[in-house]
Amino acid sequence: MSLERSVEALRYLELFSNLDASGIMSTTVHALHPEDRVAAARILMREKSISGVPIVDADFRLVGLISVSKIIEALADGRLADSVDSVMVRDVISLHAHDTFETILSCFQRFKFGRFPVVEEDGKLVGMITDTDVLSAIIRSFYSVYVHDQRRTMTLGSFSALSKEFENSADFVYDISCIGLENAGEGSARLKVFLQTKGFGESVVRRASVCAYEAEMNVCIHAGGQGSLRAIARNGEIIVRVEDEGPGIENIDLAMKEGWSTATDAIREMGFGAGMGLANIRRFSDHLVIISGKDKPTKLEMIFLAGKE
Amino acid sequence: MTVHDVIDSVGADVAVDGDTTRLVTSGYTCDLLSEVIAKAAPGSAWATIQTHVNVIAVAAMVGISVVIVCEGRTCESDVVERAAKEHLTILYSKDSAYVVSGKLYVLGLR
Amino acid sequence: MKLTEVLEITGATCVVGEQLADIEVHHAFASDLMSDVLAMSRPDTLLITGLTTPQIIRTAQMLDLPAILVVRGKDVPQYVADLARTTGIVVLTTHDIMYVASGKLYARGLSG
Repeated sequence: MSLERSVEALRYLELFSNLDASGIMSTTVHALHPEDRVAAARILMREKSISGVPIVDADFRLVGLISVSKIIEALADGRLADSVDSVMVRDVISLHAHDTFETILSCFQRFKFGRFPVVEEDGKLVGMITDTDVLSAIIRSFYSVYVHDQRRTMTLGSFSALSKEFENSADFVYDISCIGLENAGEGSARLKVFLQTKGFGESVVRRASVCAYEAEMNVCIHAGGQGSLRAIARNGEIIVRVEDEGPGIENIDLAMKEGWSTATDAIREMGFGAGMGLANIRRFSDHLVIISGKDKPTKLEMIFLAGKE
Repeated sequence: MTVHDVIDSVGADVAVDGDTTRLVTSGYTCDLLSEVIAKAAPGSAWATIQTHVNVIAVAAMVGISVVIVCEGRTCESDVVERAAKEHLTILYSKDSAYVVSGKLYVLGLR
Repeated sequence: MKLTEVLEITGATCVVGEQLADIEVHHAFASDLMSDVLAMSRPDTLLITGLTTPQIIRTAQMLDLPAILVVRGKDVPQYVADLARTTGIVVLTTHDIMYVASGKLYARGLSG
């Protein structure tokens, strides 16, 4: 499914009006200088699996871009040892950090390129936007994405709505192992202390702790008390992932609804199971992704932005 | 104080117009149904954020005069229908249970 | 309102944190549902509840609430009191029911 078609199908641009280029772009950018060799660009593209390399001057101002097609041309002409300067495109179509979602889309539709550099007012390169970045931003901007069974592959292919960072390591790890509800909440309490020591502000720490606590309670109430609570906290962003082994959420739409719950009366009498857990998580997180299904594990990922207070 | 007086004084919306001439003799604020069954007095005005259908069953069992659903919450239609059948007045208040209790208490409902 | 005033108005006793009775609260919130409390993200609030589970302490801790007033004269179990002590949360207990405790405090000017 091409980006263009999927976006046309959405036709709800106002849903994404809060997204600008700076919120969509990836900031991990590999760039080269004009005097670098074309061969270096070729190696970079292969190693990083990217289809275009921005070229910047000594002050990191964007001066050009070299794409796969330019590399192929240079290869055919035997010019791999030449400087990037001699083969790069100079009139680069770039985006500004504050460009709106709509501007970005029309750029993709008009120019048919797979990537656009993003620059600040002074022309300095600050990021890149690929079609995958746009898709990620769309998915992250939905409060919840329920992707399970066939729907997942139908809508997303191999694309993951969850942060890849957790595949390597996490800054905070807590194994939830709770019998009854007595020590439920211990993981979130530890997470809170951890976030405070990391220097995050009071308010974002409170939001993250409340949501982690609700998620931890859900694991204790609904998933046999076994699961994990992990977090990555850096660059003004807190990502919290809570996972369990099931029985999963059969209908996420319903579960998100305030007041809806499958909790037993015993749980209700303990002050939980009023059907507000996920609603609270949605209210206090900046991004939320839930992946679950009947008899499936539940993965819940929440992102909290320190700057969004 | 009657249910009618309660409606006037707490500034709530009437969700179910039950028997509004009923006397209200005390207040009870609680979200645990078992506690309400065990402790609330008949004739109470009950402030809660619970909207479960069991609220109506409990209110009928105890003899609650009026249920005040707080914090802008609303009941599903099955709950409303059940309350209408029981002639139980349900009010929706934007205030928290604390504030609703406070307002009624200040008015002299003890 | 100072916690000492809360004690006096509701005839409560201090279970945990007597040395902290000087602390001030600016709002109160009454609920038996912890998710309902968690939905209210306001730090300087007195939590009034009929529950005595460890979850009331955890909830207060997550929200940075300074104190909890337990109503209906319920006994606070030792392990719950211990958790409150380690997390620095004041726990008071009154024989008043939630309605009456709320009413008295509201009448004396503690806002919602």
